[in-house]
Amino acid sequence: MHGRHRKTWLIGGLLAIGMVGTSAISSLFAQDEDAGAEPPPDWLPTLSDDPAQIDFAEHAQPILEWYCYDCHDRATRKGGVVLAGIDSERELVEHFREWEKVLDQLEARTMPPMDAEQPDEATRQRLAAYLRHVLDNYMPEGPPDPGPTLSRRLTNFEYDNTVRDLTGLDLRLAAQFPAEGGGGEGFTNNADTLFLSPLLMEKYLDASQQIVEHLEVSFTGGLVWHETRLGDRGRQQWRDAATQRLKQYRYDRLAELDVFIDDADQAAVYVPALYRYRHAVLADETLTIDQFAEGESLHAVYLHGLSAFFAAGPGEGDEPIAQVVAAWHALPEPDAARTVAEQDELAAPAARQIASVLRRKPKETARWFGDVEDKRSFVLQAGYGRLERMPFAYSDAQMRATLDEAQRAELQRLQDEDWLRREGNADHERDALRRMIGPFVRRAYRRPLLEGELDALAAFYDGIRDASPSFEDAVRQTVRRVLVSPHFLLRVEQDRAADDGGTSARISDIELASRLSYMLWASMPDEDLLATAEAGRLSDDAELTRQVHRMLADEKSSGFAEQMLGQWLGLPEVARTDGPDVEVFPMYDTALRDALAGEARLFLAELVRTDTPTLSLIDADFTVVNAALAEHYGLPVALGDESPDAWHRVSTEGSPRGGVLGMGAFHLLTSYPTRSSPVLRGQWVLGALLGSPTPPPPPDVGELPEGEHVEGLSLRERLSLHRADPACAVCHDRLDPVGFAMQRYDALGRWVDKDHAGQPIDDHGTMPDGSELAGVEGLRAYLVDNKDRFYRQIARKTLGYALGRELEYTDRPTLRRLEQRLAEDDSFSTLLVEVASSYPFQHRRAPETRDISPDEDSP
Amino acid sequence: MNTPKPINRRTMLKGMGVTLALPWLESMNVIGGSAMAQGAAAAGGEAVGGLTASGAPLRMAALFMPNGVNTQHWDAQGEGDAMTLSDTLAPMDGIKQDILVLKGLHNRNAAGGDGHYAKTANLLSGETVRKTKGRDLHVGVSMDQLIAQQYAGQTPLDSLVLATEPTRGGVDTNVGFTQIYGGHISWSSPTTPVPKEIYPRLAFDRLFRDSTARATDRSILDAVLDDANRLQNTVSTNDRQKLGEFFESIRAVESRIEALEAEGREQWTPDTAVDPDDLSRPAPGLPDDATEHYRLMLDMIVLAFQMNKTRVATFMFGNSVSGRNMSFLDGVSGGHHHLSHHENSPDKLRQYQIINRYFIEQLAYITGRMKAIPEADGTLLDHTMLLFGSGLSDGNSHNFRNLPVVLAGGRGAGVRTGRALDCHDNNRLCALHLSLLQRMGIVAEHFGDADTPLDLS
Repeated sequence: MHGRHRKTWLIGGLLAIGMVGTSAISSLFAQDEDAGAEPPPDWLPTLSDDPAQIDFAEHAQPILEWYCYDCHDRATRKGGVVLAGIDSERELVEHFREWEKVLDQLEARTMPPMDAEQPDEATRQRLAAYLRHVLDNYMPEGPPDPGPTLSRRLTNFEYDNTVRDLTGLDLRLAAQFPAEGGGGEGFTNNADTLFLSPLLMEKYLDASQQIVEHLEVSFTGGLVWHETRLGDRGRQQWRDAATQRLKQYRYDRLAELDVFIDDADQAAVYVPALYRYRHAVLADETLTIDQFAEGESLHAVYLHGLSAFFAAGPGEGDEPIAQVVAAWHALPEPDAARTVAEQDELAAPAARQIASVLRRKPKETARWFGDVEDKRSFVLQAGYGRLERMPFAYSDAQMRATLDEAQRAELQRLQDEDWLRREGNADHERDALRRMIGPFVRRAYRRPLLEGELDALAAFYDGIRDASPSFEDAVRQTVRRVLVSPHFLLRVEQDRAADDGGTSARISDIELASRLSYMLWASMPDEDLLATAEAGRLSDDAELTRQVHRMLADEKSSGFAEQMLGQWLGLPEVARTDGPDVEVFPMYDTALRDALAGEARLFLAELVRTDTPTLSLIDADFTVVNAALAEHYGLPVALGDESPDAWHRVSTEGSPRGGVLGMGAFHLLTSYPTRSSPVLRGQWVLGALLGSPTPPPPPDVGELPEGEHVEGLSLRERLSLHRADPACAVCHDRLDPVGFAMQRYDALGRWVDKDHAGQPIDDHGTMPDGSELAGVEGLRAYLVDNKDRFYRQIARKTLGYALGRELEYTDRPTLRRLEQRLAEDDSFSTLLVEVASSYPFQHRRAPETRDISPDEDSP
Repeated sequence: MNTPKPINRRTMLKGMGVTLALPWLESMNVIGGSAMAQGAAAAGGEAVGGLTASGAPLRMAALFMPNGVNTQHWDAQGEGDAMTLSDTLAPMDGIKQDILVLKGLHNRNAAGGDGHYAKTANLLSGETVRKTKGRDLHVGVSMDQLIAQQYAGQTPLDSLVLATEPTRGGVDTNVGFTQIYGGHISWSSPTTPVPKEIYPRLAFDRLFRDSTARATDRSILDAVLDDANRLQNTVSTNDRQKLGEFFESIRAVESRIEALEAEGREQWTPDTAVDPDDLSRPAPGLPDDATEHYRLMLDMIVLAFQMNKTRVATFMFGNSVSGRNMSFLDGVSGGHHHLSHHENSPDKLRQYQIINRYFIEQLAYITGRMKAIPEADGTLLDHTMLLFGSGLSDGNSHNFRNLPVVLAGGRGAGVRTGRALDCHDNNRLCALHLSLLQRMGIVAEHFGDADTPLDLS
């Protein structure tokens, strides 16, 4: 228990005996007297080079006691770390997170600190190997434990995506919601820290209202979502919308009819026909244009159009139109005595004149005819003006003859819709509500409806229908009620009894579908996934694998990239920085900031969607840039489109770009407003990328030396002075070389030769283990060599994100499996298939299971 | 409300100005019945039941400044006309008769933990911030939320919780604390931060929320409460706790709707009826200009108090560890947090002080605004206790002793202003909180680590 005391006694003799029990004082003595390299006592065990041969209590503990307990016992707790009191491998793994840090420090030679006695190289290596062996091989006893699973609400990001996939509208309403903190493994989807406050509930109510204002309620089309906000609509407006839709449909179909393309050809037929019609009504006042046209096998609509065209007359400046209309009006008034042949003979010259004018259309009259490519007849456009009455002139019977089957069905549907809305029948309405709300709720709740659920919704509707201004409004409010239901807002899984012989239960395929879609898309399952789950096929391994691959290839996998990779690495955060000091960096503006954020976001999404190796985060040979960013980086690439919204995937061969280390977003985030910081960059690489964060400096140290004797020194030189202090050196020996290797990127990510003081940059660094880092290339190579640490980190982050919670030691087997699989094949799909197939992802604890998560405090 | 038109802050104030000159109507002065008002008067100027001596309700706001101060330039001495303010506090000089500079206060339970999170989240709770990545947050209930809970339902908003920076996501892995702690000083339960509004427009809309067209909301809330009830039977115990939050939120929104419906029927109504149509909604989004943003949010507090929309508000100028680029200030080049770690460099100390002074200018702004609004026989400032402070004194060493704290206003509640008060006899920050709570009508004998209220009279 008191290693240092024992040693002090050995070295300090009688003097120290009196000090036993006051560890702080005895430590002081020990430090003074240990200044010379004293060999460890010979009773200290020698560790085997086979970790399996090492026993914790017999071999490892005495060594830890000797080298570590002085500072890390319960009394001293240096750095808040207590190692004493761990007496077995089991206790060790229960605190695996702390021990992984111990392992990191041991391997990085940062512990024991420089001024303390150091183990020899063999002891260090063997102890590290042993600790890793224990951590990696320890299997929690008893049945596998999926860990705690908490219901949680959708994150703001998930809310927006789910609304998008539910309605087809990308409204991004959660921008108004309170920002989310986060916790666990560092993600906002951490269940423990997703609060549902009254303020948020109000915002959900508001958002649901904003959503349904885009909703048209149609008897025949169900719930129809519109890009434009329709707003509150009265009964009459709602009806009119159906009529308008019907008119528009008819018009669009008419506009497609080839018969109207060439007015000049039509004139030769229709001008005489219209003249004949004027004669025919003299004989039969009741004869309509439609009847006449039908008798003559002509298009009534065109005849109507021509008639309206002549009646409307020319507009101001419509010179050719004036000629056409004048030619028509120059015809003699109808006379009942004329024969049809005489009528045609009279009309023929006018028809020719009209045709000749119209024939000039493409060239000379383009000014009046507008777009000559427009298939719609000029006569119809000019004659009907806004063409409002025209579609009704064309009987539906005539129209149907020109439509294909699908078009006929659609026309019928629109007519039915129009009729039903005018009818206003409570029974129709209730039937329609039940018909349309069911499929919507299944998608909104991400599961089939439960028994009685549809009735309850119908009852809600009945309760508000009378007070609602319209059927549409009542349905909209029913939809709102769904959008603020816990079934929509929360992700809740059923509690179920343990599977045979265990303490946990497999979740249902339906629940698995949601876990999968919220992991990969940060959104609801699509129809393929939900239907697969409903059919009970998702638990099939091959099907699950197929789905993961399918979902990754979907654009929506940017949800995983943005939320998991983005929050882990923090790069998209750059969009929210207020940037460097523009006096020092006058070329900085928000367009550049947005471009840097865009690159990070799109690069991460591209990695996931194209299923690259995960290591591409470090060594990708491409990036995604817009023209401004390519110029900023000095990339010699020719991009077609210069717009800031045009992004291009480009090769980074021969440039210092590629991977996150070459990204300006990273460089800017790890800089102070006036300069870049090797320390912040080192922290980011070690902490975020490799998962061995360094603690902040204690309050009384961490000051860069100032004053005359350091003036004129470069930042590098000042930092190296600073490392002369052992308390600083513990971390800075690791941080600084990593940061130095990236010093050629300035605060904006530009590749520069000289630092801000005009001094040439030395971008070499030496790691505590002796590894030389020659610039960023050297750093990349070093990281790739140490990819096991990267795999461990990405496995932990991905699993923590997928489960929405902090990891437990019971997750060790899963993590180990993930790390092993990544060592074999480190593609994103392998990682994610493995997570999706993992025990904790597919199970939840059964109700009786006690919460056995270990105490967070040190032992 | 009128058709929204984006407009700058000045126009909004102009709109508010219309109402400022309205005379006080004594007939409206009936909160808690006249007996209570007399009681207040009888108590010799001390607030009773959260009322000021004039019978107008007492309000409280707490303003948080991140990253501490340059302690060399933070001081005040003496009282009355002889009161002198150091350079950082100098912007308060014109209004010094209305401030009380509290010296030597100490938030004992901010010891340990880390340099920022453990000294921010508990600024108003006085309890220890539990180190966690999120599983078991614990901060204690903040004093502003105790007040909010005491007066819940009596005003349209229980409290107004404002800020300018969103809470940062995730965990600060260097220290192992969730960053939630750095973004919240208001906690409605020991484990639940109150979400904050950072958009001026949304804060404004919340104040003027239309209470019509809410009939369906009630039906919807009833229906989803039903959903939650059914759900409760099928989920695990842990999940039931999570659903509990859902229930609470629903009920809170229902009671807010009720309060809205009852608005205008409460016992005390501000006579200076502000017509929302005279005001212009702030533009959507976050203002680019930091000062504009701070002042818009401070205006919201003034407006909310003036209209009796709430009794209590908090505002965070920034999150703890805020690295906001302060180069917009003359003589400053760099980020706030970075410069607070001045490393005793004279140049950084100088810049640090400019930043501190800038925040005091904002305090002077809101104090001046409140003083310009007449209410009852005094001003809104007399009926408001405006607390300004940071969780750190020297930011470089993360020192949490001798905190920089200023209390403005509160004369109607017996706060004797116009002086510097050395608190060495009772130096706990929570003693100040306890004193403020008691004035707000909270029956409490101790708060946090304090059993004796700080004597402010």
